[in-house]
Amino acid sequence: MGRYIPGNALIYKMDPRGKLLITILFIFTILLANNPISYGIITLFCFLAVFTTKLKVRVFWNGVKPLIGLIFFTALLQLFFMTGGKVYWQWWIFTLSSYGIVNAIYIFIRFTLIILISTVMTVTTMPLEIADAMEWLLKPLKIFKVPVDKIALVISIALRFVPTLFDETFKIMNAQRSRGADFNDGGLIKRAKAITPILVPLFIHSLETAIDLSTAMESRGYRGSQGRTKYRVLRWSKYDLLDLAYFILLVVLLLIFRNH
Amino acid sequence: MADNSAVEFKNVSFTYPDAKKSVLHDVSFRIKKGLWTALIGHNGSGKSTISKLINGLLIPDQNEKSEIKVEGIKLTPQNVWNIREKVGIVFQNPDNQFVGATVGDDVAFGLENRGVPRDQMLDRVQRVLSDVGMLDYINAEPANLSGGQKQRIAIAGILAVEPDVIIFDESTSMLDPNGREQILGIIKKLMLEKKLTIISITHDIEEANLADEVLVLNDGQILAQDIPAEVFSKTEMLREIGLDIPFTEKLISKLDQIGIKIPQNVKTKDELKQYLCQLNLKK
Repeated sequence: MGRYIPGNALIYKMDPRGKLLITILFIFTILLANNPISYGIITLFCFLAVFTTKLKVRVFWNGVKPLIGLIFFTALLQLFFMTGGKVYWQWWIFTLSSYGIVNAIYIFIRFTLIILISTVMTVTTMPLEIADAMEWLLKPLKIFKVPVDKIALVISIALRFVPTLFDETFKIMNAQRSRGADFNDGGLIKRAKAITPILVPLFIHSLETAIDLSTAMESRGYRGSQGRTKYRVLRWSKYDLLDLAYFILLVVLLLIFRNH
Repeated sequence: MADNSAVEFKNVSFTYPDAKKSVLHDVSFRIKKGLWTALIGHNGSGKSTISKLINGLLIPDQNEKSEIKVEGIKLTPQNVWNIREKVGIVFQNPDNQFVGATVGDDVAFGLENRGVPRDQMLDRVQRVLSDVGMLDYINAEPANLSGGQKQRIAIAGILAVEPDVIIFDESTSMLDPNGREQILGIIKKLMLEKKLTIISITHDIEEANLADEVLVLNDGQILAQDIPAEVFSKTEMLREIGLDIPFTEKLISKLDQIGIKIPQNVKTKDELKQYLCQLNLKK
């Protein structure tokens, strides 16, 4: 995962709905791979996607880095607990077997690919576009009376207020610092205690903002999602055929080359 | 004479829930169409309560004689949404009224609520953004705008739904002098171009001085309603209720103290300037 980085590569022109859907499907498609060739193909396709963003490798490394420990841990579990095939080494409950080695590698590749493809999606799509795409994906839930439009509005307002609340947090921290608060020294408990005087005003401020905002929304005629029209509209374009074609090709290749 | 008032209050009282004392007691006044009326008064005098009563965000105390009319239509719980079509409010805090994720989204919010078709919406968003001089920022996010710019977007969002009355509820109080001046300029321009009725609720006495009429509110009652020059010449009354007086009036009373008598008919800044220039010539 990563933060949106503006760019003008082809992938930026694709519809967020297509990107989100294909990202989700891609993650499931990884499960189709079951031999070295199919893993090779899907890895190649994933790197191809990374390459099309024209962004620095660092961006993707930053996406993987926070989770690298977890990936290694899961791979190690596979490595030492999986049994079967040729056994190379055994001690107490740990076994190092040929199955274990192969599976550990596969698990490692799977996790890395999932993170990479999600990073490709999140760095090339604005959070707001992702929210719009999610609204579209969730639309079928309307049959079950899920208020999809309201959820979408809530998400978009939440996204819009993230920087505002950050500003407010810094203001409060500076106000506390000017009165001698210290956020950077001391042990874990002392630091945790120092956070309380930030959280309380921040919480009160958010409530006040929420009340003001709801008054403003009501006075501007907001009365629920019924009969609302939309300013922001997503449109499919010819670029969306590209990611679709890329995905279909991947699935076909995997189906051919996987073990049956 | 009902047809030349944009807003009319008759015997309106209002008490906040759980409060012992009412904020407004038996208030009656009339705000004229097409004019800029400034509502002044110290904190807690009931200014903001009036703005929220006008578009039905608050409901007045039950009273048979009590009546609020907007553009000649009596406000009832049934037609409150129609009244909100006619009255727009620009609030105090620039951040807390910015709903959309981008400038365009925010300006379109009121239009979306009213179910305006998208092609008309795009046109209107463009038009009102150019009215407030913010068209270049249509895709900007609120975090990258100054307070004054956000207030201009708020004005655009209100203009987009084409109301008859716009209330500025201390809209300039959180802005720097520069931003304030810009907003006041825009208000004046829009009022003349679009024949809007402007009600500005303000602490800023210089801002009230720009209005066509001033309504003075003290402890939930109307103290005076007149042209600014008349209201601000009652310096004693204003001091008594804890309000400041504009620079011109201050200068007149200071000159008075050092023995330079300014005639009663000199009231505005320009008149005073004229008079003072000629004063030296006479000597």
